[in-house]
Amino acid sequence: MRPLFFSLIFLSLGGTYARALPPVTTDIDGRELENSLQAITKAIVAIPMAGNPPPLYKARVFRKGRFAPRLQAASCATVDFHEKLGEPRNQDGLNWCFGSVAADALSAEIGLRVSDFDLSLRTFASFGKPLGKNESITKLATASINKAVTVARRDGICTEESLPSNDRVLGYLAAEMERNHNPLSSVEMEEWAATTLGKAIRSLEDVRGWSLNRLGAAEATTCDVYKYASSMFPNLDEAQVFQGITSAQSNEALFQWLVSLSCRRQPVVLPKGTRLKQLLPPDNALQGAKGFHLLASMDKRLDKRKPVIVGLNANRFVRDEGSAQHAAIIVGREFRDGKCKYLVRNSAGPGCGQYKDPYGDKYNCSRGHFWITEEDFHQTADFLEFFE
Amino acid sequence: MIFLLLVFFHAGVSLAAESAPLFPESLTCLSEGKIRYLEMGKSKAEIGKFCFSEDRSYFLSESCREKKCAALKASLSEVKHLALAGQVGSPGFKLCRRAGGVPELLDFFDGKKWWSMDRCRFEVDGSFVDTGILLRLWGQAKKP
Repeated sequence: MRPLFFSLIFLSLGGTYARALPPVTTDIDGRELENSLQAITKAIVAIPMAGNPPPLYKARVFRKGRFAPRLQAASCATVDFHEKLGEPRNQDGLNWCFGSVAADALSAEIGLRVSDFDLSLRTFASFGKPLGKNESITKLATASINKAVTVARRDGICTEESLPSNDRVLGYLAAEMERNHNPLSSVEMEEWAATTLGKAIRSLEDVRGWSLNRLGAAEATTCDVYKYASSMFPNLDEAQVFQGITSAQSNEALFQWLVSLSCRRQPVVLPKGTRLKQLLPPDNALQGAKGFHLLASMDKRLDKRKPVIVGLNANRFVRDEGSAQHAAIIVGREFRDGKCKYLVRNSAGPGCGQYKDPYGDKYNCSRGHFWITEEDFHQTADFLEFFE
Repeated sequence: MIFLLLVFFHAGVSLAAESAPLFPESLTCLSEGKIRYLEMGKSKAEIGKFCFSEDRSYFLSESCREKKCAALKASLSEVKHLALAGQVGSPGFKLCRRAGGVPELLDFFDGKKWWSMDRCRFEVDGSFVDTGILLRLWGQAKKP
């Protein structure tokens, strides 16, 4: 098994480098490489896992291999700051949960509601291709959230006011992108194309890649295109619209360009040293009890009235059981009905009907926020992320 | 014996889930309610008859309150889980499109304050329900 494994590594390395470099002889033999890899593995294992709670906490919450939830209100102090983040976001105006949670986390840090559509659009490239067989959704989620935050810190971000995520045209653009990756039937396409917004978007797509000369020669078409473009993106001038049309390599790139120019991005200023910290359960976490390792860190964060991004298996909570891995924000904690519960802020709009009972009932859900128990959390949570 | 009890318990739970109401009984309805939305950067408004729950988490047209509307007769049973799953978009909007409706983001005015909401609107009679209600309806209609 082991020789085969190393043969594969050598083969893989050889295959990769053979194309770029002339063949060289190496004096590293298999044993040396194995020792080096073992040393690296040991070093990685030795890094303290931030997800491992302190022993006292562990003794209180997890006894004799079984989860022992807190039964006293005193150990589950109330904290609830969901109103600080404003109305819940709606994914269909922007497309993906990772953009929503990144926007909420950033908004809480800088005290300004930022546009989730802007963030989603700029990091949309992560999507479009399905996950590979061995790719982890957790890895994709955390990488996407990190990318969204990094891009925002580097290039600034549109505020929700300057680029509203609930503009229906943005919803249609989002649907169009989804359509590109998951085509609807031709009948649905025709119906959609007949709407005003469908026509507007199509008109831009139809001339994408045209040269300025060609646009100039087709005066009537060009006038219509500009009319549509300026109604969708009123802040843009002719030069910006036509620069996008003539140079964009794809329809998606064209709309990304137009949207990105539509708002003056605000700089994202965070205190020096602030970083988005990521916590994963250790590899040896018990099956079905991964979230337990994250509870202590989350509680600490909530005590400071700071939101926590969490990866959850949504099948437990939502009616669409195909949703599986999903990112949301935890914005509160309270001792309710004899249990310590956490308040999940989702990004599927303000409705409650989409959640299974009891999560969707009137005692547990209001305006897109719902309460889950400690047990729910420790059985479904995959990762945490928060600014520190 | 325990097995039978478990079967009965499971059946009871299933029945309870199936018969759960689509929306709360106690609703406030407005005959000239205000709705607003953004389209192409411009704010637009419309007046309509709609109802909402006490906590503003449920929203539907007045005709749907009586359960005599196209939105509640939509054919949903054939829509499978996988048709709604994916990394992008929301299940409610996808279900709405597949059911022949038009998903829309909007704000409604309850007489004192504007509330953000979504809806799935059906052209045939102009009726609508929020996408959460539609998902709940789908949960009850889908084949096991």
